[in-house]
Amino acid sequence: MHYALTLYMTNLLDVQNVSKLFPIKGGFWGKTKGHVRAVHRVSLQVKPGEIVGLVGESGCGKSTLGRTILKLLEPTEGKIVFNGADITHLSPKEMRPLRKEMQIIFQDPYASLNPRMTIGTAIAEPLIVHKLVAKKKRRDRVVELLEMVGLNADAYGKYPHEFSGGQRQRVGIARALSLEPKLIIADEPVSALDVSIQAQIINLLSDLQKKLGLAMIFIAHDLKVVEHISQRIVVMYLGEVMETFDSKDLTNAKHPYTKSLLSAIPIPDPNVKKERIILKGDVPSPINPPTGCVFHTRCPIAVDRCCVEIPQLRPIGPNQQAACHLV
Amino acid sequence: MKKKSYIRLIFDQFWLKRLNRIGLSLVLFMFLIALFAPWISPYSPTAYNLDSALSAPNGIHWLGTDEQGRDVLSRLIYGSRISLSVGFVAVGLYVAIGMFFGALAGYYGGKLDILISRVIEIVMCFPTFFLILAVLAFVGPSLFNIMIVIGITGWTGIARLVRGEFLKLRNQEFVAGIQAAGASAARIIFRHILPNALAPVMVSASFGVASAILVESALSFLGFGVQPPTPSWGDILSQSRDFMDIAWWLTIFPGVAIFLTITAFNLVGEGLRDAIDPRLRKKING
Repeated sequence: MHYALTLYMTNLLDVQNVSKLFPIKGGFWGKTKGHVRAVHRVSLQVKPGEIVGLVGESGCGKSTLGRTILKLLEPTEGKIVFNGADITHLSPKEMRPLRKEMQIIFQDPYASLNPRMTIGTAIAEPLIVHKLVAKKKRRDRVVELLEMVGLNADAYGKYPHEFSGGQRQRVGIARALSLEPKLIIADEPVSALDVSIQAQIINLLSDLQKKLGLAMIFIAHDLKVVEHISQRIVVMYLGEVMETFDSKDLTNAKHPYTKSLLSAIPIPDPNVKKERIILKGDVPSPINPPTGCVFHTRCPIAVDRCCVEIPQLRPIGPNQQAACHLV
Repeated sequence: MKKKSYIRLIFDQFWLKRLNRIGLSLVLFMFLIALFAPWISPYSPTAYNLDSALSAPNGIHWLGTDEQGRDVLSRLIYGSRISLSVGFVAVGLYVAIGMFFGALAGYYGGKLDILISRVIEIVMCFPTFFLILAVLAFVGPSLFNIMIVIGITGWTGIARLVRGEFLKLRNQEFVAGIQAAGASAARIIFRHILPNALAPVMVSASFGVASAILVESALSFLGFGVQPPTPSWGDILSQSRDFMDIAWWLTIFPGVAIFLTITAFNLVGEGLRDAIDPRLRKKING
C-alpha cells in the first residue's frame, strides 16, 4: 500500500485505462447510431520534468488523447490523475484553477492564434484569466516570454498574419508558457512546419523544457523526431497503446507495428541495405475496429489467436511493455 | 512596409470601388442631414400656410409645398430623422438579439442549439410584414413601437448567420487554446469568437437598415407608422396619393429620398460583402 502510494506520487500525470468514444448521430431525431472509438483503454504516466513521446499515424487517437488529458474532451471511461488529484470528473468550472498547471501547443500555427488579436494580447490573455500578473507588469511579462521563445519585443503589437508559421508557433509556445505550467501537451507542434524550421522549434522546446523543468507529452507521427526529444516513447495504433519503451531502446523495439515504423525511417547511408516492412492495406475504421488485436489485419506475423484474443500490455524488458501475443 | 490591421484592409478594399465610395458618402450625407435637420431645413416641417398650398417647386419652396402649404424639403429633411432612427435602432436591436441567440446556439450546440434553431425556423415562417402590421394594430402605431416590433421580428437572419460562424469558429484551435487556459464561456464567446464573426454581421446589418427603412415607409404609407403631423417619408408619400395628378413633386421627392437612402445602404452592404470576401481574408491571414 505504502509502496503503491509513493509510486503514485512520483507521477505528475497518471492516465489509467482512458477511453474516448464519439457518438455518431444521424436521422431525424439525431439518435446515436454508433461510436467512433478514438482512444481505447490507454494508460500512460508522465514524471515531473520528463518528455514522453506519443507516436502513431494520422487518426490513431494521439490528439484526442492529448485533449482528453487536458479535459478539453470528456473521457468516456478511465481515470486521469494529475499531480496526485483525480481530475476525471471535474466540471469545467472546477477545472479552471487547474488549467494553469497544464497547457497545450497546437499543430496548426495558422488556426491556433486568434486573427483579430495582437500577439501581445493573445499571450496576455491567460495571465488576465488567472489574474496572475498586475496590469502594469503585464507587458513586461509578455515581452519576457516573447524573448524567451526567440521573438522580438516589437512583436507585441502585431497581428498573427504578419508572422510566418515558425514564428507563430513560437507565439503559441510563449502563450502556453505564460502560465508557467507543470505539463505541456505539444500536439504535433512541428508537423505543419518546414523541415528547417522544425529543427529550430524542437530545439527551442527542448531547451525550454530543460530550463523550466517542464513535463511534456510530445505528440508526433515521426518516430525520429520523438526519439530525439523524449525520454520515453509510447506507440499508438487505432486508439490503443502498442508498445512503450525508453527512447534509447528504440532500436530494440519488439512490437511488429513499432518495427514497421522503424523500418520506414530513412538511413542516411546508401550502403546500408535494410529490410523494409511495408504494411498491407489501410488502417481499419475506428467505428468498427477489428476483433482481438486491433493490429492483426495488417500485422505481418499475425496468427489465429490474434483475431480473437485481445493482447494486454505486459512487460517484455526493462521499462518496456508491449501489447502483442508473439513477443 | 508596415502591415495593416484587418479593419484597415477591409476599408481599403472597400474604398477601391467608386460605387462603394458613392454609397458611403450618401449614407454619411443622410446622417449629417438628419443630425443637423433644425439648422438646415428652411422652414418648420409642421408650419402650414394655406395660402401657398400645393405650390410647385420654386425659389421660396425648392421642392414645393403640400396641401396644407408645408414645405416639402423641410419635411423630407426631418423625415430622414425618422427613417434613419428606425433603421438603426431596429437593426441594432435585432443584431443584438440575433447575435446573442446565434452565439448561444453555435457555441453550446446540442439541445440548446436544436431549441434555438427551431424557434428561429418558426419565427421565420411568419410573413414578417404582416406580423408587424398585426402587432402594431394591437400595441398602436408609434415610432418606438415600430422600432421594437421590427427589432423583435428581424433577428432570425442574424442569429442563423452568427450560429454558423460560431459553429465554424468554436472548433478552431485558438478557441481550444483559450479554453485550455481556463477562460470562462462568456469570455470565450464575447472576447474571442464574436469579433471574428462580426464581419458578415456588419454586411447583413447594412442591408437590414435599408429594409427596415423600407418597412417603416411602407407602414407609414399604410397609416400604421409614425402619426401625423410628425413628417415621415412614407407618410408624405401616402398623402401625395390624393394629389398625384396635380402635384407631382409630392410623389417624386419622397420617393427619390427613399430610393437614394435604400440604394446607399445596399451599396455599402454589397461593398462590405465584397471587401470581406474569403479570398481577401486568406491573403491577410497567410
